Amino acid sequence: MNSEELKPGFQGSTPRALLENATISVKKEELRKVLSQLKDAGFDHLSDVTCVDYPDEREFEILYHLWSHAKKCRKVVKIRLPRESPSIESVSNIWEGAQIHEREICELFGVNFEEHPDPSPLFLEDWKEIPPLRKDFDTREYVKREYYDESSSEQKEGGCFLLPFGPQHPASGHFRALIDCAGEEVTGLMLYPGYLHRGIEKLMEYRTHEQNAMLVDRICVLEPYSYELGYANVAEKIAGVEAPERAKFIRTIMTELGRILSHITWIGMMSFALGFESANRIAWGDREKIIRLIEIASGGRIYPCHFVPGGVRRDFPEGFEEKISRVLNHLQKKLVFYDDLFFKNATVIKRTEGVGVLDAKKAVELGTTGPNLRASGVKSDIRKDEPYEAYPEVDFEIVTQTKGDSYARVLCRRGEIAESISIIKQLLEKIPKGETRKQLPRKIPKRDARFCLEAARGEACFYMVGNETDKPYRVKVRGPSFSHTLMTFSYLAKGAQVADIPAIYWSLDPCPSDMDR
Amino acid sequence: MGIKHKTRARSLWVINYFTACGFIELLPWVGSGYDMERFGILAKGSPRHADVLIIAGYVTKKALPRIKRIYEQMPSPKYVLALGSCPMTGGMYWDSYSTIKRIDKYIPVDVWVTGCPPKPENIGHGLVMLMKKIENGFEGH
Amino acid sequence: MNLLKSVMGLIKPAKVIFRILFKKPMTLKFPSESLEPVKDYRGRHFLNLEKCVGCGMCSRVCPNNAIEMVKFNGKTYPQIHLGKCCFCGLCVERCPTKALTMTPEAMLSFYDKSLAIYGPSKLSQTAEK
Ligand code: SF4
Ligand code: SF4
Ligand code: SF4
Repeated sequence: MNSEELKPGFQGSTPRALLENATISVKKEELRKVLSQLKDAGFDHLSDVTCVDYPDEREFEILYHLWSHAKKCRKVVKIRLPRESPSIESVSNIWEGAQIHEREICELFGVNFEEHPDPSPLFLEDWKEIPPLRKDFDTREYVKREYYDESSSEQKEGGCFLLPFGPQHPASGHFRALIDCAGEEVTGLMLYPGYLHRGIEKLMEYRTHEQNAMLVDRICVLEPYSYELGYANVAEKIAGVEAPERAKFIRTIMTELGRILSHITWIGMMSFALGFESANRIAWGDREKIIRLIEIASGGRIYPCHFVPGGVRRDFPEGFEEKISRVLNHLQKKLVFYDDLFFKNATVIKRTEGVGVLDAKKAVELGTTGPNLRASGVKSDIRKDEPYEAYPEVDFEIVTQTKGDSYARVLCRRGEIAESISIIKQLLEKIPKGETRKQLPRKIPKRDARFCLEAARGEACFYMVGNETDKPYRVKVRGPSFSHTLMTFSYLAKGAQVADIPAIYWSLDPCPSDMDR
Repeated sequence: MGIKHKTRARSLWVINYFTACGFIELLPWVGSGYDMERFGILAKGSPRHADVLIIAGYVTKKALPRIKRIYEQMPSPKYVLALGSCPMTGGMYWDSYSTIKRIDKYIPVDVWVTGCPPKPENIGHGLVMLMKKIENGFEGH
Repeated sequence: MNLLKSVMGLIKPAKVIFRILFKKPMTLKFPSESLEPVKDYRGRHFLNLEKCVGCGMCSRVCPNNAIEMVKFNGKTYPQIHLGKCCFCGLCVERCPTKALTMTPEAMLSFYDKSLAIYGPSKLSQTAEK
């Protein structure tokens, strides 16, 4: 790196500082230069772009969260913008995946990104108020005026209609996709998300920790446990409290169960997408066994509301450990059965092998994480790289594949089910006795914290800012499906056969509910 | 009453369009856990073939016109089942700027199923209630 | 060779599915039979009228504003709109006298939305069996 070039930039002012400090503040003019230098220095994954509104200081703060797959470390680049007519250079020419995060900020905060390839709104339609995530927009006022006032007129109707994509309907949630095709080949794909957008990040600013713990569940339908874990951890981190040891073990066990649940649901979805309905019915029947376990442990079926900041709400009931072991043994046997039925099925192999090939470099560029990235040969797993909760205590392998096609992603998930079973078994042997919940101080201190974890679909991150009140000032959620659907899927779909679209889509295992938030 | 209503109640075809998180508890019904085909319920891709619209969860402002459109395309008699608290009162998202709080302002609803999400047993209970209502001579919309 | 491999690859799943035909079915014959409810399932609330002191803690903690305090028999009691509730159980956790508890009852479907409003008298009934 050229040290002359870097000098006038940021406050640390030497290139060493650029690499050593975890957080750097830059000025607006140097943003692109600094970020591209960081990228060359190995920070190849742009995890998230976050915006925080500070109306009292009349500024927006934009944070670029970076991660280096080679060095396994994080870095934050901060930049302050004036609140009146905020404008900043787009970095989508450095990371292609930045595009989508910038588009979100542009819509929800009204920050202009210069030279952005497509700044059209993502989530909302006909929005006439001030951008909703700004602090001066009061959602409760707005809702009262709009919905609970009987005299207000009815909603205006839009004119377009939903176009189901591909030959089959995606079985989970929805978004609109327009497919351009020349014969059988897809030449272009436009995605219109936002049918499930409900502004969870805004709602969190109005609720206390306890109430938020119930709300984060609803971010992702297929795997709520990971998000609960993320919220509980970020709240503990910002308060400087550690959860009790036993609570950590319980959380890890339940999160891993959630991972198996999510992957088994996905077997059903994937086989449904391939038109192979027997496997679908059988997998969704098996799902019930794990849900039953979650129900016994937490009292809820889909949304357990089990983890809260400071621990867990319920300890394991009597004899629960044996019940888990029994189900795990059953699943282990069943996995061989699934091998014959699904994973080594000639039809499945024919439909997925060589379809939707994603090479490692492009995958990182697009912001792909989790099993989809590991299927392309990148050995990256946050559970190993920055161990959290009880993961330091267990011994497991990172499942990787090399080919990067849909079949590699299928096999990757199969490997992960097996690994998760072994992780839970190890944890059950080591689980300590003791208390399970600590009380957190009511006020959230005035600082920020970020916590990343490996959800079943990839990297999920929570960023929280406190403000000496009992409600968080800002929470930003980074869901893996946001990049997977909007960047990776549209990249892979281009040039594919129309009939392969469901196979590609479901091999990525996205969750539209997590994408829209 | 009569044979017409009896047979109608035994062949409810559902449109394969499930809005939000409520759909997850329909999976046991689609899968072999509860198996809705025993009741003559089939999931259909086209609104023209469907009798029942299941509103499975919150409806955003953006999705509402599409749901209305689907509802209008369905042939009469048609029935509507609303799952979860969200379509009923706003539920979890009662103060969200982007979701609809009362779906019955826009679409008539026949059976309300509470829960967040409703248990599969409860959904079954709702479906059986709908079937009973039709058997007792309910003409639909 | 390739052909043989693909044929074998197809026979195996078919065999597996054929074997399932002779197994006990997974399907539950709802409504005549249903799974035994889990003891601690968070279902409908139960209110003990004697224990409740009308403090309103439950209504303040509820994330969905589902609880309203109403007058009943000359005292204030919570009234729960089950159509707003998300069955999170925070109100039960917060109740200082343990007057509010949750029952595993989950069969709550209604023809009419207003039936989902459970006043103190309805809340204090035990589940009918
Ligand atoms: S009621 Fe609960 S499960 Fe249903 S859509 Fe609303 S938040 Fe989701
Ligand atoms: S139920 Fe409990 S929390 Fe609610 S008013 Fe009665 S005593 Fe207070
Ligand atoms: S269970 Fe939760 S949502 Fe329902 S009334 Fe109690 S606190 Fe409110």
